[in-house]
Amino acid sequence: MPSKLTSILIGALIYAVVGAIGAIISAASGGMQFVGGALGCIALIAGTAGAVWHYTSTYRLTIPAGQGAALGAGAGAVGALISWVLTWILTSAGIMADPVEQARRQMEGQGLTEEQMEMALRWTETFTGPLGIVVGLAIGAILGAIIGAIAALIFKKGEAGPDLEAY
Amino acid sequence: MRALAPFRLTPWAVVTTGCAVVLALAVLPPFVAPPVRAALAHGFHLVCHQLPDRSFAVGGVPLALCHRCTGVVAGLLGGALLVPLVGRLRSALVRYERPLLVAALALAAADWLLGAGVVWTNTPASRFLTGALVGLVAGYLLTRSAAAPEAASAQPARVAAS
Repeated sequence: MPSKLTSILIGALIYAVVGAIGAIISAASGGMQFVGGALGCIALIAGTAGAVWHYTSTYRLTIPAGQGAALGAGAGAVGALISWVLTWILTSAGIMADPVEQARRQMEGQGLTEEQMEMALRWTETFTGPLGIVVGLAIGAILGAIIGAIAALIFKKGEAGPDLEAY
Repeated sequence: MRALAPFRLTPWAVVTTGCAVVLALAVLPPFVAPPVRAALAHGFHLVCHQLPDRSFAVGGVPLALCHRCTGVVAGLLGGALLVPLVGRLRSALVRYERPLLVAALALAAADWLLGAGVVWTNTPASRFLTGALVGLVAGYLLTRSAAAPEAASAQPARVAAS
């Protein structure tokens, strides 16, 4: 079976780089944060579906949903890891806002008591560390698997085997 | 007398359960303690802007996803649930699945792009509904893709005579 590593890495890089551009736009454009947010969503779709597209196009294959999901999950998880590194670099460089400060601003309108807000902010702080990487990897992998499975159906190459057409 | 056969993990059951879990995680924040809320918000922040004024809220606490993304996730579950009901429409859906997906994406993109300009002001309802349409088609495609390797034996529910 041809190696999937190159396709996963290409997809992960698309996800991480487009997502980072979205994050920078969000940080810089004030009221147009939803533009950056949409880029985050597009980054995940382009990265995970792109991994499946690259694999099926390079090897002229029609792959089952399981393989598509695995490619998508791989691109989503590795992409989330690269995103975390890029976010850390951009936050350290002062290009992106501190996530804890950002969370504080979002929580201010939620009617939380001072104690509840402090507790929530402590957890936000925790999630910017190693635990956050684990949660990010898990969500990236789950959503990547969903998109990858759909992409396997969309990016069919050549004639599918009977098992793929009989549903 | 007919009785349900022991539960069998069909692709349809896996996809439907998975979509229901993702939707449940997205709507959970207003109903859980702040630490869990922070965990859920962090989990989804990589794929959604989560802006409070563009998200549904319960008691002032926003869900983990914005209007459009909540629509997409709800639509995913709806699309998976509708698969057993499509019946004779199935062959037409298979033939037009790519155009349907492109059309749903184009509608969501139009709502988003025009909303960013002055031509059309999108609303929570338009954002949710255009997202739900994308999710509906994607949920159908996801179920079909997952069920494909099982070929004709893939059935959403199995009832056996006892």
